[in-house]
Amino acid sequence: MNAIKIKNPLCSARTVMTYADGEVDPSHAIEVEGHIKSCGECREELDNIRAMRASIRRSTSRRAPTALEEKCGARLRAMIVMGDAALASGAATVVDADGQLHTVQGKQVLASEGGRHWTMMAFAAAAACFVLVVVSFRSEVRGALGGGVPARTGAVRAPNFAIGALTAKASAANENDDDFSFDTLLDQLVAFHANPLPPDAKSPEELTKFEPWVGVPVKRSAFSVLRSMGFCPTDRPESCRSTSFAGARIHPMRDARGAAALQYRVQGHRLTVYIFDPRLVPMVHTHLRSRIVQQQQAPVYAGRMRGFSVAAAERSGVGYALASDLDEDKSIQMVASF
Amino acid sequence: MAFFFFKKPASVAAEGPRSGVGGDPFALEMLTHLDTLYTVASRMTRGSTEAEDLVQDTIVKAMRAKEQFEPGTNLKAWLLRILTNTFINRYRRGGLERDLFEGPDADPLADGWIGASTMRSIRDPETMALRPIVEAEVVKALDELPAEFRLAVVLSDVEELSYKEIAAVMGCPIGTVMSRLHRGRKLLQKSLRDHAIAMGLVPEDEETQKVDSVKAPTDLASYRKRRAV
Repeated sequence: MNAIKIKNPLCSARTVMTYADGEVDPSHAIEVEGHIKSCGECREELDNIRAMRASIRRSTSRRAPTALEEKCGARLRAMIVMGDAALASGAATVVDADGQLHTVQGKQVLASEGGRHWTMMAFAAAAACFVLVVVSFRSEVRGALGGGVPARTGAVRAPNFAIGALTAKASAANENDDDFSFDTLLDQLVAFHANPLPPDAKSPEELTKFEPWVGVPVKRSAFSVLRSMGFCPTDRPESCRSTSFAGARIHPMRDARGAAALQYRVQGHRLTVYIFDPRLVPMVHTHLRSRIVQQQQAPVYAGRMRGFSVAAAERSGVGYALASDLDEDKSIQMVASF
Repeated sequence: MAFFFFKKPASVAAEGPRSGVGGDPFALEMLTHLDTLYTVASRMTRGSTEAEDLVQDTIVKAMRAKEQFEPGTNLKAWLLRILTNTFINRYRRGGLERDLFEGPDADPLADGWIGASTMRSIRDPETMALRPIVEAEVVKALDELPAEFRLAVVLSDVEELSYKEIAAVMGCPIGTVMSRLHRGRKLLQKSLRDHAIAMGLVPEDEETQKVDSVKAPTDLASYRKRRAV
């Protein structure tokens, strides 16, 4: 019996599965691969697993419905507005009640598409009042307790929340030309970086004229982070001055809005930075990996596209995307510093 | 001067689900995993409308337990763990384990090789996937699997989680993940092959029957034994 074991220890459906899942121990990988190549049955098994995987992936991958995204966003907003402390205590039940409201609303949407706008408006109004009441109540309590903790920005956010719900219909109407996704933007950024067009603005002072089309402030980056990244060696401080602004142009997106494309040269590296309104191109559904670089800051998305390093993040409500030939860590640091 | 050709922007900006969440990086990153959560929830609930409730519950629970998440670790796996627990607690009191001792899992045939020619004939050589008519049956076959097999297969094949991550999500050892995956896939192969036979795509001739009932070994040990003879 021992002889049998020695004869073909690798020939098992389980080993093939482990191989197909990329989980074979690296020290055995070559051995396993060699066996599978030579063994008809194992090859067959591998093809079966792969064929099933492709079909399963194709038929089960789902994109979250827009309504679900909106509901989740609204619940999270409500939780953020009410503050962390509220989550632990009685307010948690309030969030649940809020969630109930959402569920009811969701069913009504299914029942009558036409009634959606009014349902949402009514709901938004109710929610906004509710949130405002909670926030002002909380500030009063805090004030009465004499706590030094300032009330959170809820009062500011609550109207935003209402506006968000009110314009939801407008954004739903825009869904059809929603093909300008975050990934599209990044694709175009990389294409532009690879084949740059001549700039429309050559001096940093001209950048402000882009703002009506971009919708967010367009400023040249000082790249103060370069020093800490080892780009400016202390023995050669003048090397930092080789950072130069090479020009900018507007890049059309949709609805007559655009992204500002800024080009820089940093010590022989060419950098292209897109500045855009993240409300126009939400930074979700991307194949880039997201990372939290700093606490209390939005995540940075980073990866490689067509050989270029790409990183993107939202900072103070402004979207930034960087394409360069730097390594990933440097790209992330740069974008995080915007 | 290309930008002069643009009209002045519309005054109303589109607001996505993320607006207002922007100040909270955790909430923001959670929303990037919504598709994953919805895909897994849809299969856990077998495509019912409960999937949306399950996702919402998961998001709310995760937000409450935010402090317990260690930054730098895998948020996707952490969210899926919450989703799995929520599913077990809310939708299926009694847990996942129950299914292990009943149903098709007891079928030893599922562990062996399935006739090579049969399986080859349900693959589409062009797409390297299953033939469309068989593929149409995949979701149904998947939904018929015991929940923990289904979950393991979806986490591995659709969400591309590693065995280690799946073990963390399902709260079981890696060895258990491997056997769930293995058996889950074998059961899938079997029901898809049965479907192909029922559709007349594969003739259920003597050859196939022989492969199934005589040649097909009950386990790998006996398979090897037979090969050695």
